[in-house]
Amino acid sequence: MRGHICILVLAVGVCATRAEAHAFQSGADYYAQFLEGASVILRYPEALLPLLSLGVLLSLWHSEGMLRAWPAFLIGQLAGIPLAAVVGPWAISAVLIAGILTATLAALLPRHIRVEALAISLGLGLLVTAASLEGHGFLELPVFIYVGIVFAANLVTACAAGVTGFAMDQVEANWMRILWRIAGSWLAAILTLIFAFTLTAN
Amino acid sequence: MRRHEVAFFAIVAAASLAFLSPPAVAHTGEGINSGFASGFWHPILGWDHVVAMVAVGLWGAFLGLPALWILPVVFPLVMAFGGALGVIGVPLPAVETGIALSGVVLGLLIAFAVRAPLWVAAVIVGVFAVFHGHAHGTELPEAFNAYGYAVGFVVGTGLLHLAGIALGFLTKSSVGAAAVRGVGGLIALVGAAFLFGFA
Repeated sequence: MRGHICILVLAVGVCATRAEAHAFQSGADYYAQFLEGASVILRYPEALLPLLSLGVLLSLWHSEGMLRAWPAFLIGQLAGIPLAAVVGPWAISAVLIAGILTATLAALLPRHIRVEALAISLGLGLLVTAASLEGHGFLELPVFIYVGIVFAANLVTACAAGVTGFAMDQVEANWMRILWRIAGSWLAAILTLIFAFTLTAN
Repeated sequence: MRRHEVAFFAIVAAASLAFLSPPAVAHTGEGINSGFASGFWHPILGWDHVVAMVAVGLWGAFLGLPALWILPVVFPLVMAFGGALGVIGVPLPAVETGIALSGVVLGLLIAFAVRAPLWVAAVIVGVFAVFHGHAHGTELPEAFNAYGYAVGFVVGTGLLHLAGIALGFLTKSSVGAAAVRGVGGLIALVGAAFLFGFA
């Protein structure tokens, strides 16, 4: 099942049409709208890497961490859609800071608690959706763009959680857990540098 | 050989193969590939960086658990902080001296098999990580993709740590421990060569 999800993520990434950064210029083609929405998550490291970090953190928290946190993650994403109308370009910085926090916690904490996992899922879901739709009014865009964004956000996070959980299920030795904490550390480091690039670009 | 041991050796072998592969020359013009390659090779092709990164892993072997794993987790985080300071233009004095000194200090700590408390080790490694990160951040080639550079730089540095940790497992035998301490001495000499301008 996890293997199928990984293949699906890759397929969506490979097949995505060229997007004009968040301008959403797809016409009436529903599939093109869906792919354009999905590509906002899949093509931008600012959205992709925090979601990967969340997936790693959730599986480090609990073997079924993704399933347990999914309701909070979905509520956050749905809340982010109307919030997008009031956020500005600063939203992407907020996503990066949330991503750095998520990856750093995944790397540094030996154990995670339920409140932490659920709060981060809710917050990151909200911020990623709001930043992806930055400035667009509630339901101003075609519905399939929203579907694409939500689908890709869930797929990326589920895939990261799935791969992490699968690896730790297969190899129960402590070094495998450490290996994923090192992965969290690398994600935090990359996000920190991207945040610095974002600051200098502004 | 148990399954998790096989998986561990497979990962170490993959990391080793990554170092053995020659630099790619295709797609050298622009884009994510060049950015990644530039970031990846930047720490690996500079001896002052290589010796310090490998030294962190080697010293961890003498410090034992949990330092063996905590240092490679903490180092990229602190180094990225230093890198971010470099990218946004915050000046840091004596960066090159700090980098060269890291080779000398870490090399001597390995050569004498110093077992420092975890917090002392974290502070020493963290301070040097800032210098290394700052140098990488300020030397970012403008022509290359910044995202690719960031990913390549972190992956390249991380693999050097893992190589150091893998070599550190030699300390499980007395001959191996002596060899690792010898490598520590060599690292200190390389650091000294950079410190005194011979390299």
